[in-house]
Formats: sequence, C-alpha cells, structure tokens
Amino acid sequence: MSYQALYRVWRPQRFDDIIGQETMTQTLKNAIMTHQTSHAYLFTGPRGTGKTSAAKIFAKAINCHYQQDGEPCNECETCRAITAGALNDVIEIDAASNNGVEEIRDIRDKAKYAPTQADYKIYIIDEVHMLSTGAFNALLKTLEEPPTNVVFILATTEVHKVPATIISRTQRFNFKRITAADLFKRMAYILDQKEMTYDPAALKVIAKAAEGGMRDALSILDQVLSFSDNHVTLDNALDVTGSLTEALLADYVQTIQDNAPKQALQLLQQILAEGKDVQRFVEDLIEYVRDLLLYQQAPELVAASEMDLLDEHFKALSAAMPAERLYGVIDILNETQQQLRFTNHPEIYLEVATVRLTQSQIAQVASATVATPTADNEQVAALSQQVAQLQAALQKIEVDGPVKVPAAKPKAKAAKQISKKVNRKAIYPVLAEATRANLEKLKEVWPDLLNMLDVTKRAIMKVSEPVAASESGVVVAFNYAILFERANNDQDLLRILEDGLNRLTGNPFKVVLVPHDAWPEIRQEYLQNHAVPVQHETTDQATGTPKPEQKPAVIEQAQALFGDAVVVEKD
Amino acid sequence: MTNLTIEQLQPKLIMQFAQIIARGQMAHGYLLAGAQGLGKRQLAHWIALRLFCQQVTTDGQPCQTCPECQRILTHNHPDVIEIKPEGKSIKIADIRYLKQEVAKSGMESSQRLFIIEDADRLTASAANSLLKFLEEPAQNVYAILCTSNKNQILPTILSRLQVIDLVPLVPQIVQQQFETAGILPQQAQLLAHLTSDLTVAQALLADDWLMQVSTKLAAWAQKVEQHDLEAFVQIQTQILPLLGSRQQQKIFLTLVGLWYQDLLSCRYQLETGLCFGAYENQLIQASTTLTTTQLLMQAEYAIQAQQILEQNISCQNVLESLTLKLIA
Repeated sequence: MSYQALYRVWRPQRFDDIIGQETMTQTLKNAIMTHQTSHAYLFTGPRGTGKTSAAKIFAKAINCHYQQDGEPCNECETCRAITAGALNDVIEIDAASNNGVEEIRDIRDKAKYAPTQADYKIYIIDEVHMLSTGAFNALLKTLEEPPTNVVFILATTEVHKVPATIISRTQRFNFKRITAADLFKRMAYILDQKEMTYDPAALKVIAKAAEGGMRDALSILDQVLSFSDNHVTLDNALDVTGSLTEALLADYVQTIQDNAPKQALQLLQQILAEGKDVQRFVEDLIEYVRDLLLYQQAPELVAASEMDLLDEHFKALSAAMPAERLYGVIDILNETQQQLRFTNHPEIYLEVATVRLTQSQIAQVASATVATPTADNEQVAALSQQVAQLQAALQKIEVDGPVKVPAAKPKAKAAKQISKKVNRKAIYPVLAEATRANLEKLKEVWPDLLNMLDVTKRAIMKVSEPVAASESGVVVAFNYAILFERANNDQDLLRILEDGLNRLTGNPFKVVLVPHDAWPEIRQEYLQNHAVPVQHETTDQATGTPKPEQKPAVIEQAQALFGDAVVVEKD
Repeated sequence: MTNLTIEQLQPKLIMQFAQIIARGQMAHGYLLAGAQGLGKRQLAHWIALRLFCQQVTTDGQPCQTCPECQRILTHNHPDVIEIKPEGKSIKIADIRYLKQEVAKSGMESSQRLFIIEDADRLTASAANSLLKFLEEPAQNVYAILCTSNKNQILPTILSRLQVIDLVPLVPQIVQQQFETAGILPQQAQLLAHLTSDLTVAQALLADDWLMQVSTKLAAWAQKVEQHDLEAFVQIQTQILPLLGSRQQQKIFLTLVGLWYQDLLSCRYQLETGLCFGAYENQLIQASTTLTTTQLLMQAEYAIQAQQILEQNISCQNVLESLTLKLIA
C-alpha cells in the first residue's frame, strides 16, 4: 500500500465527522431518518469544506439498511462497497471531463434502469459548473422528474456558473468556510490518533494558511510532516506555508507607524531574501492590521480568533495607531494584493507599497498645500491687483528715469557682510546638536518642501541643499552667492521654509543659510572654536579651578567707556 | 559554461525529497512553484530518477547510469510522461491523453509519474478536468506540476497538491555564477535581477542587446527627469527598433520597473546592490530631485504599464502613454 495523503485517509465517513457544517449535516440526517429525501441536491461552497464527502456519506446513508439516526453504519456490505467506490449504483461523474451533451444523454438513458444492488441509484456529479450550456439544458428534464429511486447530487465550488433553472430544481446546501478553531481541533485530533507530537503554534499557522479549507489544512499538514520527523514544529509550518512570524509582522507594522521608509524597506528585503511567499506576506499583513483594528473595538473577539495570547507589541501597536491610519494601510495592501496576481516580479510592487505605507503623513500635508492655492480665488484677485499696482509703479519709474541706482550698490555689500555675521551666530547652535540621522531625515522631506513653494521661490531654492541638521535647526548651503543673498534677505521665504518643515516633520525648525563656498570654512572654524573649548571646559571643571575670563584690553577699555552696552561678537 | 546542477540550486529540497522517498511518504501530487531558472524542471526530473533508479547510491542519490536513469534522462521512459504547453496553453486534449494514460497501469514498473510544465497555462477546462484525477489518483501514480506563477493556478487544484515554493536564489550568487561563465560584472549585475537561468541570460546578451537597451533606457530616463518631450520621440526612434518580440517588450518594461526600484534604493540608501550599477550617478541625482510622492507615482505608472502590456495593448502605445504620464 503506497502512502496516501492525509485528506484521503481521514476523509469523513459519517455525517458527524464533517466539521463545521452542523446545519447541513443535521438537515440531511433528518431527511434520511424521516424518508423525506429529495431527488436532487446541489452542494456548493469553497474548496475543502466537505461537499464531495457529504455526497458520498449521503449515498451510503440512504442505501444502508442499518442506518442509525441518519448515519451510515459503515460496516455492511453496501457501505463498504460505496467507500471503496465499487458499487455500481453509486455513480461518481467528473463533470469537468465529461461536460458534453453526449455524456448527459448517457446519464439520462441509464437513469431509466432500476438500481441493481442498492435501494437508490445515486449520481454524484462533481465540478458541475464545468458542464456546457447544452449539457445543463439536457439535464433539466431529468433533474425535474427523475425516475423513482434515483437521486442526483451536484457539487460545485462555483455556483454562479450554474443556470438558475438547475438551481431551482434542486435543494441547495451552502457549505461554509471552516473556522480556524475547527481546523485546529481536527488537526490536533488526527495527530493524536497518529500518535504524533505537535507545537500548537504550528497548527495555528497552518489553520490560518488553509483559509477555511479542510483539505488545504491537511495537505499542508502532510507536507509539514513529511519534512520533519513525526513532530510538527513551528519552524517547519512557517517554512511550508511561507508565513511570517508574528514578531516580524509586528516589526514591519512598527516601521509603518514610525514613518521609517528606510527601515521598512530593509525589513522587506530581509523577508524577501528568506524566500517568503509574497502573496502570503501581504495576506498575513492584512490580517494582522485587521486584528489591530478589531482589537481597538472588540478585544475579546480577536483573543478568541487568535486562540492564544497576544503579545505586548501587538497591544502597543493597536493602542498607538489611529483607526484612519489602519484603514489607509488596509486599502493600500488590498490594492497591492490585486496587482500581485499578474506579475512575476513582485519586489517592485511591494517596495512601492511599503514606501507609500510609510508616507501617509507627508502625502496628506503636500496634497493639502497644493489644494489650497487653487481653491482660493480671493487671494488670486488680490494678487493680480497688486501686480497691476506694481506695473504702474514701474512705468512711473521708467518715466522718471533711474535715479538712485548707484546708491544701492554699497548697501548690498554691507548687507552681505552683516548677513555673514548673523549667520555664524545662528549656525553654531545647530552644528552643536547636528547628527547624521537628522540630516538624512531632512533630506528625505526636502523635495517635498520644495514642492510646497511657489515657482519663483522654488527656483531660488533649487540650487540649495541641506548640509547639516539638528533636532530643531538646519543649515542650507547655496551654490551661488547671489542667490544666497536674495534668499537670505527674503524673510518671507525663510518663514515659509520654516513653516513647511514644521508641517512635514512635526517639530519647529530654524533655517540658516550659508553660501556653498563658505561652508567648509565655517565648519572648520566651528570645529576649531568649539570642539576645543568644550574640552577646555571639562578639564577646567575637573581641576575645579575656573579661570577668570580674560578680556582683551581693547574691549575692557570700550566697556569702561560705554558701560555694558558693548557686546563682544566673536567672528 | 554550465548551468548550476539541481543539487547546487536546491540542496535543501533534494535532501527533503530523498528523505520522503526513502520513507515511502511520497504524496500523489506536488506543485513546484518558483521563478524561472530555479530548477523546477530539474527537480521534477530528479524525483523521477530517484523513483525509478534501480541502483540508488547509499546517500540516496540516483545513479544516473542504469538503463532506467538513462531513459529518463533522454526522455524516453514510457512510465514518465511529460506534458508541456504546445503554443500558448495546455489544452484539454492533452489532459484527456494524460487521463487515458493514468487509467493504464505502469508499462514496466508498478508506478507512473506525470510532469506537467507551466501548469499556469492550463486552459480553464483542462484545469478543471484535472481536479478529479488529482483528488484521488490510482495507487502509485504521482503528478508533479511546475509553475512560475502560482497565483494563476485554480485554488481547487492548489488545495489538492502539496505546494513547494522554491527558494529564490540570492542575486549575488546568480551574479557570481554569471561572472564565472564569462559575463562582464556590470552586465551580470543587471542580468541577475532578470533571470537566474544562464542560457536565458546568454540569449539576452546575444548581439549586445541588453547593453543597447539599458543605454537607451538610461538616456530616455534622463530626458524624462528633465521633463523634456524628446523622451516621447525617443520611444519611436530609439527604443522601439530594439523591441522586436513580445518577450523583449516585456523585458524592457521589467527594466523600467527595476530602474524605479533602483531609484527607491538610492533614495533610502539601502545597502543592496543596484541593478543599474553603471548609472549610479544618474540614479542618485534623479532620486534627490523627485519628491517622494512623485517618485511613488512614477513607480506606479511604470508598474501599471507592465500590466497594460499584458492586456495585449501595443507596446508603442504603452510606452508612449507611460512617457507622457511621467513627464506631466
């Protein structure tokens, strides 16, 4: 005897063995007990829920002379012959390969003859959705009024392909998906019977992956068993189903919650490199997020479906993520799942989805800023008025002729020098707290920030790049001195930049501008002036003798002359 | 210039199957799922050899020399039946033939093995008529289905089989394999992301096709970044002449997808190797000028284009509309 798959060995042989379909089995049992069986049944439902099994059991029960409470005895000759598929009066037809009118005509002709051995002649037509239209119609009359002692049982997973005229002639039974808990129980039962040990968590993973199909569950279990030595371990189950551990899922969702695209992508690549099934990954993720959502509303429901303890990370995530965010995540994942069906290169889909998931906040802010100006007509009107005024003023100047142009030049130079000084004072505190991570974070939102500016301001800022950043400040370097001048004098621009950064990152930012050429110099100076003094201070404190501040003679003299109004400005 | 052997490709699975067959726990049906070049067919053949070999070595490997092995290796064994799509799909006639064969007992031995390649290309009726056969085949009849796209297999078929996912090779290993076969490192880098099959890779390299295409792609991407409408013209003048067959068109769109994948990894400074290492500067430059939202949107357009091509829209239309969307 060769090895038989678990789902064949453990195919239910009694109505009570069919798990999770109590209504259906009870109805059938009652019908048999009271001899009120119909001449045609239609069993529908997803794969692996017991349609074919129920049809076979029904064939036995109705023919068994020793039936008890509607259950077949499974011991008499008829029962055993049916189980072995050897009884001539129980005819199992694969409608998918015999789908023509010819085959149905054959059935119709043979149905006229009375059963030979058993009481009833049973036709089990499996996968009935594959019959051709002609075949379905040829069946109609026979199905409506078959000869006595003939019963038709039609079984299918796709009832929408069965014509309504067929459905109306049959008693329809809808088999439903089997709950994970029921699958779990059945698998545990089978393993106990086989005297094998198991890890409950492993069975839980299998039950989830089976999606309500008993046959799926047992196929996977079979596979797990064949890869391990009579002990079902969690690792094997995860391997075979391609599922992820709860911990890994939690980590991934955590990166979404933290808006950390880099970490999320790294995690994703790690997951893909392990050879996890992409489809399963998305499914697991959707389920996890759904559980998070559910847990916010009805904790006891989740606890029941998960069948064991929920870890702390799950609870923390559930508390931390707002429901709207979770809806968004599920939407994006759903979309991705659809797209994944049609591709052989899933990585890029997942990467895009991952970045989208971690971006929700920025996207909202950006779209909000884009939307407002277009909507605001009043502002546009006011601006156009302003432009008209300016044009008038310009014309006036042209008429009067350029008068004060030469005077403006020295002023600009003065401004340059002033700005340079102002600069350094503002830069040092930023540099003192600058970190690499902050800079990276900032660079990430920088293009978004530029996008929020209007065209002229964006044109100015286009030649700039952030070069250092702390928690609350950023140093921006400009390639060209002239643009730096303009930007630095444009208080409006600075305000908009600071405002925008505040919205994108969530904390207030101070923006300081420097010309690109001067930047290395400034940094060098800072390092010399500050890194060294810091050391001095510490050594001073260590020795416990704070040195009195030494002031240059010039300053002392100045202070003597002007009092405290003199402020020392380090250059 | 040899492909990796199955023992090198999937050592873990070979070990597991050796164990399963030794214990006599072979299930009646397996589905081997995994991308092209992962050794699905080789694995199926290995199982066939292992099942039929008369002189299995002590460590559970087929001898590959006995008459049985020889006949399997030359596809002449009457009890090992292989079915593969002729033309676009596997039709019901093929399955009818298969079922007829199943009904008979083994020609020379007591067992029979069926290998169905590209099972995702079974027509709907062919797939459905396999259902009953796969549910309860006769004793000692084994079926092995291979597919590179598990999602397109009927769920009712999946639930009747043991699904075995072949672990994808790490691109670095594939790259090494290519490099030892004499492919230039930069080309190997890109090829490793397209296929793990050496013969496929060499076909792509023939006539310098891949290099030409990637140069053109980079030039096109550059124009797209600059919002230059010349990119639109390039589709017609530069790129389309290179895309003769359907297969090449698909590969080009995959390359576009990989380009955006690279942009993403540049953007977030991931450590994994780029596919387009040669254009690193251009990629870095491009990734900093785009906003995250723009980058994502463009990547999605690129992905959608792949799907649209699948729906039998002409390649020129797909590429041109993609260009316009990207520039806008």
